Amino acid sequence: MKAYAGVDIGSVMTKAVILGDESNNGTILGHVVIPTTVSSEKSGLQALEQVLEVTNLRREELAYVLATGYGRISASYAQGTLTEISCHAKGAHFANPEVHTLIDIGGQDCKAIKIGEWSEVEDFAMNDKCAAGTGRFFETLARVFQSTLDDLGPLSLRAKERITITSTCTVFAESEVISLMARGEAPESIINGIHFSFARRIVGLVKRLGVAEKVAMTGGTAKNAGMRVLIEELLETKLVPLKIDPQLTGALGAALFARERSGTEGGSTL
Amino acid sequence: MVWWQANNSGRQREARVMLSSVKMEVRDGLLRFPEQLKDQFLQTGDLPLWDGRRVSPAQMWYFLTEEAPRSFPAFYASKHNMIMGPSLPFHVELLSQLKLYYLRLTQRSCAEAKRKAGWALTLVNGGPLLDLYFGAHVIPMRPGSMSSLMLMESAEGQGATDLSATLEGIIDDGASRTCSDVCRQIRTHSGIRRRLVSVDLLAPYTAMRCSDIAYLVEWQRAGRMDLPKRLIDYPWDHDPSKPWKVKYVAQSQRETVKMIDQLTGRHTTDEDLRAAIIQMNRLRKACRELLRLWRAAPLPPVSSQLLNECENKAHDACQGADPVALARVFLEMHDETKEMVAHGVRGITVSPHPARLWMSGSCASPQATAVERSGGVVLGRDDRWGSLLANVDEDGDPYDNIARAVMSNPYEQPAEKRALWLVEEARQTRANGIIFAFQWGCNYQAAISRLMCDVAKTVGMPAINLEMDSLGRASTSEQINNRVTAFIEMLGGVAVSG
Repeated sequence: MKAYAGVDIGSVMTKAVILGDESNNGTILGHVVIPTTVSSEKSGLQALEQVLEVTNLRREELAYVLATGYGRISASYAQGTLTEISCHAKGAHFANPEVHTLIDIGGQDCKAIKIGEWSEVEDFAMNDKCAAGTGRFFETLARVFQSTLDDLGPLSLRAKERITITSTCTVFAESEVISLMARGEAPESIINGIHFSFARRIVGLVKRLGVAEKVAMTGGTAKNAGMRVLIEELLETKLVPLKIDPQLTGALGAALFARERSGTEGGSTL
Repeated sequence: MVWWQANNSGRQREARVMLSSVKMEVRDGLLRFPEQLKDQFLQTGDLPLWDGRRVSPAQMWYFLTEEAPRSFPAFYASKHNMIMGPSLPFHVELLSQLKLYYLRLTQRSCAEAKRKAGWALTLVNGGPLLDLYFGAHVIPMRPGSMSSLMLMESAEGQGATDLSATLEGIIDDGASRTCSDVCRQIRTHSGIRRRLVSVDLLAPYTAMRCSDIAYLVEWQRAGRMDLPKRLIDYPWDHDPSKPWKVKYVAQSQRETVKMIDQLTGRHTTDEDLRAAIIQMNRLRKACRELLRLWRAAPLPPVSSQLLNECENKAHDACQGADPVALARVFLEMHDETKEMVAHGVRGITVSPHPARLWMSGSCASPQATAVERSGGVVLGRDDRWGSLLANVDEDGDPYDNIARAVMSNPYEQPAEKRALWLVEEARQTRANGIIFAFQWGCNYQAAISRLMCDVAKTVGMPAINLEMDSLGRASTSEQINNRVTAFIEMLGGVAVSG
């Protein structure tokens, strides 16, 4: 049996997926998600080793390793690299071929991707070069509320009202939040306002590309229920669930590309 | 290495063409032109200068291999940082390329010689053509060229790290006197204020092409009161079809020339202007033909970094130095490139399956070397190409002719019209997409970037807009590289390294 690995080294988390070949219907054999450390090369390597352990495979059994994410440039263990834009589109299409609009919110950027019939990227739009509208924004705010990332979504859903957040800049938004808290506003209302401000920015990106009938969301923030509800509200459509952990979509796409490249490049082994 | 001798008797000179690139040597941390190039280079022709003097290949070789590495070690550094480099390439692809570097590295001495001969060093901005200034014995320098001159002034004996710190200090000083969000082009005005370059006149065109013009006006009217200033105005719609509008710009130019004459003590005649127009038309034509040849090749025969540099140099008329010499370099490059195309040579850094891109915007754009690493090639930039398309009438009133050409520049047209023109250029050159890049702090280009992209997309040309912060820096940030790479992947470009 041959296997193919995709490693997505993001700024916050590193993800790895191993896909099998035809002998096991090309299914996902295993996956891991670990925090990205100061060395993105070591993080990628560690994720790869862990996923090999999970799948009981040896390095020699991997026909191709493809790296994606911002850490891909230091992935000396990979035979090829692609951006996470291509990989998320590929992974999302694999998980649900009906999805043609994808929202991916990563640790240091967010993007809207228009996916074509064959999983190709037809167009994409990303946030301007600024932390506003990225996972880092939520991290900063979780710290202000002495909360965790996982708690932010449920807190937002509990809000009785929405406080408008006017600052775009993450640092200025943090100051605004502190000021609102000092005025005695309910944390849930502020958190809801932050989510709404964030959702509005992302939906703006999506609308620049045109909204397809089926829209999905990937990346760690896709697990934030509060965010999903607001994006659905603004897009006036339900987000389609993917048959995979949304955080793994990029790594899955990388593994799918690895399988394709292995076929076209003769399937070298490590 | 294969060498090809092209006999070009029509121009009474010979060009020897190498059909594969030569790697630069590295000694003591500095790049060096390999000795194996010497014999071939010495057999190439002299460079004629504007004032009738000539520079021999032997003089150029000595300068490039002995004098310049001592004087300007930062430009020869083999390792680069975020600010400096790559000033020299890691591979020499054309022999005539060496002459381009000679012109670049002698920019300061060339400007000094002209000033001694009574020319005025002038900061210009906006407006695409420099014919008027050359005709009036002015060394015209756009902000980028002036920064380059400032760099040369500061570079003597300095290493890359020290020089980078000097340059960033100049920018910080400018930002501290305006605002932290100011465009990095403030370095030019900061340098003039600090008298790092000896400027005689400020004579820009009004232009919407960048926010910098506002900084320039305010900065200099509050800063160097001793400097004469002259703003050349033109109608906002840039429409040359109305005679009164052409006359309006022409009159503004006449008054500018009168002011320059008072400064230089000369009397600029219409014949002086016509002579400049002829020289500048030759320069633009030589560069146009070179770029068209390169773009028409099935695969680019040399790196797009080199051709982009030619486009930049032609747009800036050799950064105000010597357009006559530059035109000759382009003719030689054309001959060499033609041989390479005929032999199916592909540029050493060019992917076999590149995404072909046009850049749009103004000062900032992703580095061509980074684009090529990701599997793309840069076919051209709209602001540079727009000015190179000008062919000023050589007969009749030179002021009217220059005014008409300035106002006809497609780059200066309203954004929608400019976008449609660019798409047409892109189609003619088999481009796959357009990158619209703008510098953080440039309110004008930021305001139109999405409009430009939307127009291009509407007519079926893929486009992406990028906000950058790389003006005056050698490196492109990872965020920008990531977007560019994703765009190239979308267009089907394949990186050399996979």
